[in-house]
Amino acid sequence: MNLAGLDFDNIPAFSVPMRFFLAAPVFAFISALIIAFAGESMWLTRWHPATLALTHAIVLGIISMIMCGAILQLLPVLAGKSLPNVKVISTLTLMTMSLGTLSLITAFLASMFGLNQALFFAVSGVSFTLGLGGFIGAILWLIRQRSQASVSINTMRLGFIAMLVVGIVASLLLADYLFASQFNITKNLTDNHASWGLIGWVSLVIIGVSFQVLPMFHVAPAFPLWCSRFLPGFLFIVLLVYTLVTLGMTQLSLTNMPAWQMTQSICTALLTLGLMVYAITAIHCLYRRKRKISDVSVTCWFIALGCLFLCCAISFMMNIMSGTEGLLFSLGWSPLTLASVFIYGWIISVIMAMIIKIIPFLAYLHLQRQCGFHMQAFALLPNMHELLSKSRMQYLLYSHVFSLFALIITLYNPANYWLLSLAIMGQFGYLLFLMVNVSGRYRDRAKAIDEALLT
Amino acid sequence: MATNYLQTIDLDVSELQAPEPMRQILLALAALSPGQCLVIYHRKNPVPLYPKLTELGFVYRVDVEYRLDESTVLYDNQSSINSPSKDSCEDLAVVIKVAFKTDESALAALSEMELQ
Repeated sequence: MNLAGLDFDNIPAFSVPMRFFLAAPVFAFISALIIAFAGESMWLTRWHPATLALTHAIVLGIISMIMCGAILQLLPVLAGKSLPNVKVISTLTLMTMSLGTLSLITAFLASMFGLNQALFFAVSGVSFTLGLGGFIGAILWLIRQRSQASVSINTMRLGFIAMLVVGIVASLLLADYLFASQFNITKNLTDNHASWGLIGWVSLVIIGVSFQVLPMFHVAPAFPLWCSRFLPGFLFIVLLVYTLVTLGMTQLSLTNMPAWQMTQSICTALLTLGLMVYAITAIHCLYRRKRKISDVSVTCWFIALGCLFLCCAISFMMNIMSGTEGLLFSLGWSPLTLASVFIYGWIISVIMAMIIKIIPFLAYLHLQRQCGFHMQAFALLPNMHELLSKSRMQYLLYSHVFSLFALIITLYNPANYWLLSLAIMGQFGYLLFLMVNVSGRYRDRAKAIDEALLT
Repeated sequence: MATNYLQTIDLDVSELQAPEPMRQILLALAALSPGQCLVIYHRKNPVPLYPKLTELGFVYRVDVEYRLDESTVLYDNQSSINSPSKDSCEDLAVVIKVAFKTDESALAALSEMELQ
């Protein structure tokens, strides 16, 4: 943490990030409903309409929603820049993203009910371009200058560019679908779309934020410079080469040429290796933290990094040893396992780890600012655990681990889908309760400080 | 040189998670009385703290020692007092001495004594 680069003065109002955080449980409930009503069949293939709807509900409705809220909050702190009219912009982004996600879910599910998909796809395409695309574009413009001081911002910038690439690839896929394959784009590009989304956008932003957050919240030593400076750029370049190779293959009809396939698997291997190196470095940093007090957030980080490492290691083995996949399938491995564990085990675990730290921290920050220079008011500043108790964080951790367990047994035997659906509802229902509770306590404290300031 | 001694109160926030260091410092400042000097041990250079201190009517001295690595010893770097933190997120050893404005000369004397 380089406090010299941190600026706590233009942080947006508490309600700005919270509106994004509060929207996430709503999409979690929708995801749980999709799981409950789609039944067992959706766990057989990634091309099932319900599987596509569920993936986008989780990745856009829960993950990207929370990320946007957190970015709005972090940007003024890390880069010293904030969007003008942040309340209006955040509300518009939230509305267009919600509309886009809902219509995308409907579009995927429409084929199951014989509805017209094209309209819903078009609505979601327009909403995301205007909402998320506009939002990320505006932020990229704000942080256009390369920062010497903050490796976090430099990494997050790559993540934001990756988000735009996800959008471009999505538009290509959508155009291909709507205009009946006039563009000669095969489903190969879907892998690229997913890689840019999960590794480029989500993982790079998480990695960037972790450079700042692990030392700050967990008193861990800083990441080694080679990792914070060069690893994100390496991942980004490999992703780019990977996509260009795929585009070349599909556009020039070279799908069967071994040299291209070889390049593609080298790219995948390098990506997984890069992420494995990050996972080990982050685990090592967390392990060397001062004062090894038990902390729910650190446990979540360990689960997340463990899942990341495991996913990448297995993917790497599949890539270099041809027999691995067959062996795993004979052990009850599902084609969805890798992506599911990556999303729920790595990304959602990080989100759980961050959200229980960020929300009380934000509440504290606003209260401290409210105190101004009034010495008597300082005594009213709450401790983190007064805003969100340790035992409640612990329950959230248990419910997350249970969801993860339910996911794994559903992947092993899809008949258990109802358990997963209930587990997700439970976990996010509890998260919603915690968020509302912290907001309530924040308001109470703010009122008390206001009274103290008047005396 | 002022001869009156300041009573020092040590506050080590170097192993606390954010935002606990700031909270503890603000609480300690609220309890500080004239004739006392709050000595804060921090692992970061808490830049947001300084304007607050000035605004609240305190005077302060900051000693920043840059650590090359965890394994190497601290090296004395008096010239870096109050200079902007160099780069990176590496941990530092920062000692901040805070006293009331009325004790400014005593604070200077205290720091002089330590140098000798």
